[in-house]
Amino acid sequence: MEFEKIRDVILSQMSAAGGNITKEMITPETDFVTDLGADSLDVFQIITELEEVFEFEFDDSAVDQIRTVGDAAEYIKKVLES
Amino acid sequence: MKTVIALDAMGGDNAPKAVVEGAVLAVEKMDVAIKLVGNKDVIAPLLAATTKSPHLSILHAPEVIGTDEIPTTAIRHKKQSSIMIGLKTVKEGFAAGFVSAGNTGALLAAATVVVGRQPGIERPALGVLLPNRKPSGEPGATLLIDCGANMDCKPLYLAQFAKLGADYLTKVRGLKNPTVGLINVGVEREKGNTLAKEAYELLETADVNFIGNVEALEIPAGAVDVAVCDAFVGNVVLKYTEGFAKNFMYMLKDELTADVRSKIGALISKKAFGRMRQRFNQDEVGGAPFLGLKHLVVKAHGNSNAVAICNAIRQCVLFEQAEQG
Repeated sequence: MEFEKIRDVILSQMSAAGGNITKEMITPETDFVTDLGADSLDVFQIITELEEVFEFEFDDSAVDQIRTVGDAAEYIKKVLES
Repeated sequence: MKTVIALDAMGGDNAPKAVVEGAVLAVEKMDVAIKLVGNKDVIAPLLAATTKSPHLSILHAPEVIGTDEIPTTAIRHKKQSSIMIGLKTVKEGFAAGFVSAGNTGALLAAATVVVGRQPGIERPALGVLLPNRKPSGEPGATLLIDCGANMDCKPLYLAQFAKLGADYLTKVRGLKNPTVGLINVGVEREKGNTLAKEAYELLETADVNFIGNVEALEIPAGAVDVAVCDAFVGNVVLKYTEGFAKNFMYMLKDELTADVRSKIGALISKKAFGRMRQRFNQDEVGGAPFLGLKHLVVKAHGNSNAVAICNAIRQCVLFEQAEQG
């Protein structure tokens, strides 16, 4: 469930930025930078949107550790369960 | 009806005093109403001491993003900052544009998130008008884009900057089919780094009047209407131009006051030198618009004085008038 929401946020943000990203390209192993071509501003926008969708603020230290879609999903799951 | 502009009262080296003074100047000179965004406890006394104009109001924003703060971190944690609240005001339609002399990176990131990009635009870019002397001898201007927003660019970004710049000149300054050049170290197409070579190929097929590479020395000669580059190159060109222009005037002054004959000549030519100074004065330009956003955001120089702030507001008004047709 969380993963689908995360995927939708990524798709929406990267499409708005003009990227040709498809659903199939987004898996837990997908790296934001190397696989999706995202830069720091793209990642920032995705994190900001995820904060809106899941209604909590990410820790700065957690943001620094997020490299893949799976990293983001795991962190969100951990916070929601705590 | 007056154009309403939101102004970051807390941004810039000389804020809030110079910003408030700039706002006061603007309402005196233009048909504009200004919302000063910032800490009301700081702004209110400054305003009260200067004016009673009903066209100036305060929009309270208790937080400030400093110039030394990491943009993305600051934006995430300072939702009540003058930059964030000012941008929301524009997004929600309570102001036609937002002017800030604050942290450029924070303004770019916040504007991208809050105001949003135009459809299909990967990155908004800063465009600034540099004075030039057209081949005909007339004074003109070249739009330098990007001069400060995107340090690391993809070739596609440069092609999009070209289109944004050309559209801006057409819409706001009434230029027909403005020429576009790619700033490079030589005019031949094979010159430059990988970014320049790949951008050149994209520009050849882009929907702009691309005339090829342009060397920086040709910009003051009016070789192109739009000079495209990444922000690293653009900012170096911009800062060098500003520094050179300022010091050129000092050098000229040194020579003109060196002996009696020169002093007499200088006295006779005083008006001409004044006009020259005005053509190069960065305060006369005021600010650079972020092109590619859904709404108008203008970045004023970090060390803006009251005149520069007033002229940045003027840019907003001109842009808004052009938008309204």
